[in-house]
Amino acid sequence: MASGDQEDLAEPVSGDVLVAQPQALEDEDLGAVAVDDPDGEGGDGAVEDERPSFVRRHASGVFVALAAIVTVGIVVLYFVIFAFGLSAVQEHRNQKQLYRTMRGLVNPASQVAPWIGGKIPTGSPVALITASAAGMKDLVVVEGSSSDQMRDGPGHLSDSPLPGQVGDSIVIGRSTTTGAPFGSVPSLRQGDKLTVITGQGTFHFRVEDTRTAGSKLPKIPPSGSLLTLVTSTGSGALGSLLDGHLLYVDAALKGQAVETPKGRPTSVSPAQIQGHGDLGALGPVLLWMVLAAASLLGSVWLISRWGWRRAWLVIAPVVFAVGWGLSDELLRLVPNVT
Amino acid sequence: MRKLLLALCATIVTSVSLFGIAGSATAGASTSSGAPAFSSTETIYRQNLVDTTEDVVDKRTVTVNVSQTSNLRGRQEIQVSWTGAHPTSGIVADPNSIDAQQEEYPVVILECRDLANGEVSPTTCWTESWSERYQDSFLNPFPAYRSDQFASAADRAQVAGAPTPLPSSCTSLPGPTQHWVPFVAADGTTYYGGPSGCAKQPPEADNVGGSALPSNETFGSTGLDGSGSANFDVWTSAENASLGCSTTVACSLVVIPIMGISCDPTGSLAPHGDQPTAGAQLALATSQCEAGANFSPGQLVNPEGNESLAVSGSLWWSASNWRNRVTVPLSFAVPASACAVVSAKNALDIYGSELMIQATSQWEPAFCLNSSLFPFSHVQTGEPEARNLVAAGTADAALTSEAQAGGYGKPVANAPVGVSGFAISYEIDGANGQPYTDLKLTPLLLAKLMTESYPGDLAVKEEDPALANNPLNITLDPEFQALNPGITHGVAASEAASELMSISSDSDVIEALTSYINADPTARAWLNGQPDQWGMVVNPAYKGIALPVNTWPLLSNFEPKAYYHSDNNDCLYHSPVPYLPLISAPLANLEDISESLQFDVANSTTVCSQIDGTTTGEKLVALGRQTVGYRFLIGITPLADDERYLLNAASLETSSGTFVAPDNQSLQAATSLLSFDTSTASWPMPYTEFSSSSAASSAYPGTMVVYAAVPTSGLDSTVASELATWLRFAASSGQTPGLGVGQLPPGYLPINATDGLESFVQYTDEVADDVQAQNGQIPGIADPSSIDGVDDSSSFGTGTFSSLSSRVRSAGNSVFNSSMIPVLLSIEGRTLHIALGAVGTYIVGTIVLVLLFAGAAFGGILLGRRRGIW
Repeated sequence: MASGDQEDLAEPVSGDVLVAQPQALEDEDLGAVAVDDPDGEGGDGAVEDERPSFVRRHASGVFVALAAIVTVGIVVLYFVIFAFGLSAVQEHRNQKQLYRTMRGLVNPASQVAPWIGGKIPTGSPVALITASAAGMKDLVVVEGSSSDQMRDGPGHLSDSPLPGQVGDSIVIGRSTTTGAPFGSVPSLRQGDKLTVITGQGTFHFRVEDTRTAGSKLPKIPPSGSLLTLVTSTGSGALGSLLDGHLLYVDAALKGQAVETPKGRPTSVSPAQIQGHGDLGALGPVLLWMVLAAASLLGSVWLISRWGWRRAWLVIAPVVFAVGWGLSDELLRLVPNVT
Repeated sequence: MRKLLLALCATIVTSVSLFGIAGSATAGASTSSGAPAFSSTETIYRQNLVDTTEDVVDKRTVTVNVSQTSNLRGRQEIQVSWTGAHPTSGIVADPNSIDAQQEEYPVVILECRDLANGEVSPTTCWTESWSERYQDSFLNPFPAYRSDQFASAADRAQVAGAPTPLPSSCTSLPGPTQHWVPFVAADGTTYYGGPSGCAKQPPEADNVGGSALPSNETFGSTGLDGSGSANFDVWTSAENASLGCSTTVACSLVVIPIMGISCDPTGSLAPHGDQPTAGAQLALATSQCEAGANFSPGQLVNPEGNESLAVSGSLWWSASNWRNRVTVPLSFAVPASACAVVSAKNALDIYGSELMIQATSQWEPAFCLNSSLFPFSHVQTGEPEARNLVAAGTADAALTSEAQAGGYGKPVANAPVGVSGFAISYEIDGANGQPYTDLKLTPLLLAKLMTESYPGDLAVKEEDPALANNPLNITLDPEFQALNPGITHGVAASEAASELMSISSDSDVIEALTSYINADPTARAWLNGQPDQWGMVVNPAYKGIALPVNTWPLLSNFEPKAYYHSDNNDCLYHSPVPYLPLISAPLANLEDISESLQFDVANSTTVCSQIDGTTTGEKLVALGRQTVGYRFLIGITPLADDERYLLNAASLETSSGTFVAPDNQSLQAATSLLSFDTSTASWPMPYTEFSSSSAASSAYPGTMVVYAAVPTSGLDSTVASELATWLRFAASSGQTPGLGVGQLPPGYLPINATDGLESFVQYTDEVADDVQAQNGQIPGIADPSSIDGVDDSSSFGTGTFSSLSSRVRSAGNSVFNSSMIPVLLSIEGRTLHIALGAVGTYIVGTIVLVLLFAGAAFGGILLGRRRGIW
């Protein structure tokens, strides 16, 4: 026992290592140090463990691959959260703003009335729908019904007349994502009341029927004006996604229809038609993906410089913002009724 | 008892049979539209006086039929046909030419003015040339006409009918034996004519500048079976003032089947001084007069032979022939020009469609001659121009067949007032020299003709590589040959057979024709560059041309440089221009095309006309009149013109292999395809249905509806009520078929309930009401301002809400015409079936998988962390 040197010995950091060290010091033969099980496994001295595993040999490569998959998963997860949650936040905010605008326009004292005909700029509010049976209160309808406009709420198909005008006015809305404004439309039944306020006045509609693909077209009511709400529906919890089909709810105007001012477009881009996504989003999606890749590389670089704890303060908001932008554009690719 | 019963039976049988015969006789007499308006049969003789007995050498029973004799219009063609006449020999191809008078045994048809006593005389019958009414002889003192036993003594004199004194310009011109038949014009002037017309000729005569039209005296040829027919061009005073036929000046058609002179060669009936001396003179006179034909029956004239005067058409005026005449009284319709002199009131001007010319020319007198109505005038313009005039406010109404692109800027209703269309008319002589009557054309053939794809001229075919493999003209096109057998392969009129006579101005007719062509998939593919099954390709200048258009462009700019040589065509040598547009040479309007077809005038301006063979003043002129027997002309004309000028209309293809000729049935079949279109407030023709739908296979593709486009607001109240009256007339009595004043001529489908067009009648009446009220409404359209381009700029989100809504609502109390609700709404219930479920499943599945993988990867990273790998 080397008792005299005990106080000079440093505190043992690791038990095994300490044990090895005095043995090493006492030995005359310093060269014969047994590198014994540095990874902590039981030293069984088997022949197969002398060659490192594939993972160890390509440790950095495997890490990068796994990290990439995780990143993709994060992006997808972000998108899912965005689709079902964050986009609703965005839509509610847009609806509030549009409602304020619309209310101001509809006010008789206003200098400018809401658009009622001609070439209406897409995105401008054209109607307010209230349907207590479907949980809709002062829902602002914007002009244009592609997924681009769905971010703001339900959209009016541009080549159909506005609600209250002679003809069949078509309003398309989402039933699952972006706040699901038409989520309860499938539950409308015959006789339910709908009230629509446009620049031409207040109109009262009564739901006549609900139809799906292949059904007969609705009868023309005495007033000559119909309002059709289009959305998607399906059976089961995620029905509209897994088993979705288009649903049309027709409501007839009770009362006198008004005339359609001139200049209505006679055709619309395919993106506005019910059930279509907006393929025009592919460009922006690509751009956002480039931005996302750039921000990813930037974050990796920042982490390597500053370490996790400090870098995340900068990375988190950037990643959140880029993810929002990318998901927002990706949502445009989703059909405008889901 | 038995006898009584027998008598009773006999009576019954006789009365029934008499009844039946009378009934069938009346039934037969109630003629269908195909029966002639005039028919007459007579027995005619040629007889020679031998000693004191008549020796009948020829006896014929001739029946003459004329297709129409009343309500005749200027330049109208009527058909004269006959049976039982003497076969013609020494036939001249063109029966209207001056040379045709020398045919032996022709049937001479002349238009003559009636004398005061109602009779006709050779002095009031029109011929264009002095040679047709003057005969003289230098050597033989007794030409055939002097031996005419039925001629008066004055006529048998050596100098008969000459003017006294003989005008100085005529000195030493006539031979010693002369016979003059002067012409007395409507104003009383006597034109003696004479050799080379030295003693004054009417202004319309041939060698005094002539009339713009070929002359109408006809020397028809009779076939070997004794029958023949000819088309005769009827003139009014508007076409020939010297003849002067009109509604107030009676005229007749005189048909003279030439039998030859009935001879009295010894002159026993003539004054002593006019008798031939016995011996050589008598023998000559006898042989000259009693001669028959020198050519064989049915033989064409040739330069070597000499026609025999005794039996030629030149002696139509001779008493023997004249007494065999058939006189057909003619009566004329009130011409539209009558309105110019009748009324001092301002005429209501209606601009537009040439398709309506025949109808309005019958309608105009109905208005101007009725003192309680007002005069109106149809100003012929192209339809696009007429619509622009209405949009600008210069015109109050337009006759049009299309809607105005971009709208009129005010509510304008389209009231249907006529159903007619275009015809592809032709004058083609078949390989046998006779007129071809059964032409069939496909849209592809029409496209080939219009796109200058046939070279037409060898110079172009040889020099233009693009057209080198195309047939020279349509008669060498296998597609045409298969459809139209009996036409010479490679006609002489090659340039005319490589183009469709068309117009240079904007027209809805061209739009309709190009819509028909464009709707045919074969024609469209060919226009886009696909060769047809024999390798013919479209002229590259027209490849891919966007149709329809309302003006046909001339796009080829190829010049056959080797041909542009002073020896070939001096005009083109000095001023080279693209050649193919010279072949197309479009005319100014459709009426010009009708006239060119009527008189066989080819329009291609490829002839260099020089004055005295020098370069000064040389210019390119039209090819001109084609030779009868070798004619080939195709052009687009209004359908109603075909009926008036007896033009042939081609049958056009609908579905593959089916060809439809224009007639009331096929026009009606086309109208049954129409449905009201709210965006244009009209009934557009669905051209794609002709080739695809079986219901449309019997419909004539050239059918066009003519609308009166009348504004329903902004018109002066007098004009508005006049237009309303006019519209009501057009929808009711104006649609009564007939040739009288105010009736609808043939070539139009009458708009009435019998033809299933009562909706048109109703609509036009409603438009009339709206025009009268000037209420800004258009029947069948809830909101007139929703029609393309109707300007209502106040509705674009400007102005306050309340004033806006009141303005919008005040634009008409009755929003709906309750009977038209199904028509008003355009239900846009696009009940689509989109397989959202399938796509959704894939997407959701992919997302879930990706998340799982990500989770696993994350787990792997953590594990690696713990194991110290990274």
